[in-house]
Amino acid sequence: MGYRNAILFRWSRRDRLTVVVVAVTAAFLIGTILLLFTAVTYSETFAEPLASSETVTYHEAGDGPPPAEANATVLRVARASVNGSTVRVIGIPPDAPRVLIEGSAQWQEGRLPTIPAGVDGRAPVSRQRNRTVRGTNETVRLTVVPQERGIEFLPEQWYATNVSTAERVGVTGYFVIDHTPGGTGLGSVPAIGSPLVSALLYVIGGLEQVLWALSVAAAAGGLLVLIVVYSVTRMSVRDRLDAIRVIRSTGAPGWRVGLLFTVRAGLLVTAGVALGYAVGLITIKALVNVAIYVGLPIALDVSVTGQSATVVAAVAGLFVLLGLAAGALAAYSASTGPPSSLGRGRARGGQSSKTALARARAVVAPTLLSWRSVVPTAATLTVFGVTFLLVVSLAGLASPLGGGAGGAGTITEAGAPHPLNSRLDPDYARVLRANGTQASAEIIYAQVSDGQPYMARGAEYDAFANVTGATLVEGERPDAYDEAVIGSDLAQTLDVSVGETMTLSGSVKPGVRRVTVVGRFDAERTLDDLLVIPLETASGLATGRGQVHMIRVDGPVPTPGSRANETGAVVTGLSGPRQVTRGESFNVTATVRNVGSERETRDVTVRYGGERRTTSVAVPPGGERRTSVAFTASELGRANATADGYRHAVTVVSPDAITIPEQLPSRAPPGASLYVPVLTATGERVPNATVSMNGLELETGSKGVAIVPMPRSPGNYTITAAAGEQTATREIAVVRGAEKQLYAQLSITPESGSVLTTPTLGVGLANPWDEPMTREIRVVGPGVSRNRTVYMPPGNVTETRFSPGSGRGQPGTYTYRVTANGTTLATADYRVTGDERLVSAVASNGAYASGTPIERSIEGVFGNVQLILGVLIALSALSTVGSTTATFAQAVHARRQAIGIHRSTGATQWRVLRTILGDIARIAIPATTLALALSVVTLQFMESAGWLVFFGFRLAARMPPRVLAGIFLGGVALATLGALVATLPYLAAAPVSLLGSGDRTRTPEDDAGAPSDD
Amino acid sequence: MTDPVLAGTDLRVTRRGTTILDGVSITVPPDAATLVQGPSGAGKSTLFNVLGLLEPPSSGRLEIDGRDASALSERQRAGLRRTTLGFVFQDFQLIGDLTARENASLPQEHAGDRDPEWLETLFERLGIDGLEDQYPATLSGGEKQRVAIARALANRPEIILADEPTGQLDPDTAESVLDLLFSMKASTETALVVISHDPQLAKRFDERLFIRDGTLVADAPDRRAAERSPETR
Repeated sequence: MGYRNAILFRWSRRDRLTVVVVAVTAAFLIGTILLLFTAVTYSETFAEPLASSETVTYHEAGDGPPPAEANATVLRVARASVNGSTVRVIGIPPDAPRVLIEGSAQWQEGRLPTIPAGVDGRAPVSRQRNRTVRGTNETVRLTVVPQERGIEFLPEQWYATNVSTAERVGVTGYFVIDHTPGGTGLGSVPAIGSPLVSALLYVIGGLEQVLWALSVAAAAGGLLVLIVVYSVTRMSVRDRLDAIRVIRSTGAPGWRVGLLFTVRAGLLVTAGVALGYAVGLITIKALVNVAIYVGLPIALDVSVTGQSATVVAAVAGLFVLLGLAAGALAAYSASTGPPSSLGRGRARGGQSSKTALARARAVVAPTLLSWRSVVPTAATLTVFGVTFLLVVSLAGLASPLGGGAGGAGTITEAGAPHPLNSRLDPDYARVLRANGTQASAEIIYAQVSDGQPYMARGAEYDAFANVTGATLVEGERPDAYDEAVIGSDLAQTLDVSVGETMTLSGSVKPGVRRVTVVGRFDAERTLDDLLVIPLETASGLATGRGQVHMIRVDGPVPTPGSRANETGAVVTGLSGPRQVTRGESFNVTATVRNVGSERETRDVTVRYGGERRTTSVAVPPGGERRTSVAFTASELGRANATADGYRHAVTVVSPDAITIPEQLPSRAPPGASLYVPVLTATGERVPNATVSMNGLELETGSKGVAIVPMPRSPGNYTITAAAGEQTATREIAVVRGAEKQLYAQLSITPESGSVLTTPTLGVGLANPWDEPMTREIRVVGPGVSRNRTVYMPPGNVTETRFSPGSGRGQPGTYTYRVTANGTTLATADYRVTGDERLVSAVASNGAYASGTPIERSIEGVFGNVQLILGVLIALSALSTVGSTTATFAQAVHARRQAIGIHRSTGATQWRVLRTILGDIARIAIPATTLALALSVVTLQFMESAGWLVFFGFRLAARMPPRVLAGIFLGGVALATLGALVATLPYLAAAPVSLLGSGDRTRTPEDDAGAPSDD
Repeated sequence: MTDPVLAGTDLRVTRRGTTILDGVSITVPPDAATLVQGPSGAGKSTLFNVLGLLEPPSSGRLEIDGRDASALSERQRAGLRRTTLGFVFQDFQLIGDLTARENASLPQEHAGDRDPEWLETLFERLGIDGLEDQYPATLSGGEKQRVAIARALANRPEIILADEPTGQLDPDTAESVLDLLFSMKASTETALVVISHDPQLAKRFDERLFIRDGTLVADAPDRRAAERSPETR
């Protein structure tokens, strides 16, 4: 074997260690790259039905009309007001395609509204109407018809018209829909505009960002390779200095020697990269298999594609190039210096100093090893530190560590493989809130804007803020369908300020929305990387009306299954007549709601007066049904009907009883005349009954009403009605100046219920006076505010029934009120009960999972992101051990003769080890400190450069003291481990093998039976 | 007869299938001065390493100061190197970033038993007093070897093992170093084992052993062969 071959191919254990270190580093990067590319492929398959490549871009009219392009459709946008509300009038050109082929999802075509002949457009009306639209240009009167069913491309609140109408109103902007076909793989995220269906490109864009971050990791890995290969090649050169001197002295040019060592380094790295490729591929496949075996949700089949092979080849090429550079650097001095100077190590000369500084230095300075190890050690530990900090930051995004931010967890539909597949009724959030658990119904709304993926969230901001602790720091909370609030981090990422208007496209269905950012909020961790838009705006293009993906909760949620017999159908209310006559048959009605995801049949048992009746009712998922059972009133008096803890009071009266209704006032002015009806127990008027007051007797006549004049003298009087043997009385005070007021009765049925119960209000009005009355009647209370001017003839009685809207979200008593000209006439209380059974049913029918929503989302696409993070940190620690071992191997190798002398003169192995450990501490502590500082600076730089935005989430460079301390201790431990691995062979070897030159024939490598560099 | 301070019996060293030492038996009485001679490659240095517990033999028995060294742990062997043995190497084996005094005091340091007065005495008697704080790079070959001798005697060992102690020195310096070795041997009552291929040294030793092809040959040395050796000065 010639000297060339000896230099190139005779590899020592150190060289093989180098190959391993390079292999581990390469395996780390190559494995991660393959995993990510597989994730991309998987995502494309997963999201194939979402494939859409058309984009929408908004142009302000102030910037002039957009350039006409053949492959684009321009929609005119006119901001206008109708009845004081702001609307957008969209002018659709006649040549616009009926269906946006490239802008459609598999299950939803991108279809623009059509304008029927004979009308001006479509608008949020229930039937054909005329609307006055005030635009920036002119006010126009439009004849509009309702929106088309199933077409949700534009918000239902907008007006869809033709171009000329929009121009008459006054164009304020343009939507440009670009039909240019694009791809769905990496690099297909449009740099401008928003894809009409964003979900797939959101994932692709996020993965591109991760790949970019990986390239930073690749650069760091390259740095490791540079350091390791440089160290090892320097050792090889140092070991062969005598040989090199001879080779050069006998005529070999210096460059040839340099070239040989350069090629040698290249060979080492090439071998390492080749091995790393194999190890990376096998490791990732093995990890995926293990993950599947243990039941993690992984569906990845790691394979090499053309794209991934290109990136892998680039990383491998980078490594080999850096290896060659390291070899050239290491061999430089040996190939350029005069041959005579080679092989003469630099020795310390002169006398030792005895100054205090020298003594201090003697304490601080390493005994055996060299300070020069600090730099490569710090470099390798910096790579570790940066990787570790990155992983910790990522963990905030996607690991259970982030579960603390924004609630304790999420509820999704049972059995849904991914939150995106989950559909829940947003009312469940109300149920949970009523039970004291903060809950926010949310819709995942993936977006891409000008190449930047980001996450919007359909949610009621107040509920979202209550769960997540978000606080508004600028502007105001959203109050309309086209208003949104933005998290501070996302505002920074997208460069959006409060007051600006953003264009949103569809998430999983094609469409266009515009929202004005009315506020900015701060929230913990990644929560302020969200754009919160109203549920009604998000649902159309993400989940469907009245559905959400999940409920974010913060607080106790009953454990599913804690009630074994719990079904999804629960009783939410009980109602029936308040008063019945004895012997009468009456119905008690139970309301049953199905909060589950499957059709449920529920047996309801109602108890009344010692009897029980059971009825069965089938309720569709998310639906509500009423079921009734009949009882016969037997006992006079008041008794309760009960079912599942709800109760309804029923008063049984004698069928012969008569009453004077409560509509009579309790006060009247002297001389006024009152209409006094006499009623049976069932409310029928009693003709020819006798009504007496203050000695005056009257008859009710055929209508059952007597007109009774009030005495002239103020005082308390009794009105008595008599029919047969039955009598009824009412007290009345005659007071000067008493106001004549309408009588009102307010009833609410049922009187109590859960937060899901919708009660019915009954408003009865009566004019008891013998004169007509006109009053401004107002009914107010949670979910209702009605005003009406009422004209009531003398003796007139009316009754209206209606259901109030929502607004009774918490347990408690809610009061409804009827007023006339500002004076309260009647009130009624409605009690909302907290219902543990409902909460339990919600919990048992939804899948409760801890962790942040985004974690679960990403998990669904990536398989299990924790796997990737675990692999990242394990491999980075492994390559750090390898690199520090190589670094310390050089340092220890350089001092092997000193170690041999110590051992020859009686130092035990333990003593030498102790000395080296002391040295390692002296080196590792400053090196780790330096590495920590460099890691922090690097991460801060990455953060400020915007390289820490993944999937639209701006990762904070999280560096809590605990993590920094962990890195410090981990760094010192890794350095120590590396040094130990490097030192142990020198301790195990015979002392003579360490003594260097002379007639010594053994080396440490001899002890291991391996060829030596010596 | 006093017990030998060092006794090797049937010592063998085989390395990668090659026999380096082949059944060497050697006995060194206290106060004796023993010279092991032989041509290059004969196995002299390997014998030095084995006798000095710097490498274990493949087989055979070695007793030092009455203890079976082949049965000792590496820790106990280090203890013997620290207390019973003193080494002088051909290439000095000084640590470049330690001063002369620090180099010489290594055995004391390892034993945890510092004796600066004895070191001072050694430096004086070896004629290198005043050089205590010099680094090896600034010392001449003779001075370095004197520092190495001072180190070998630092813990008052019972045996000094010297491997070609004059191999890198000019004749005058070599003579002077040998004088010092014998002088120190006499004053410290130490056994001296010197490994050398130099036939000129023979007259100063009580006992001479000859090694050839890993085997000690009879007491009738092949002097002419040794003298014809190309390394012979």
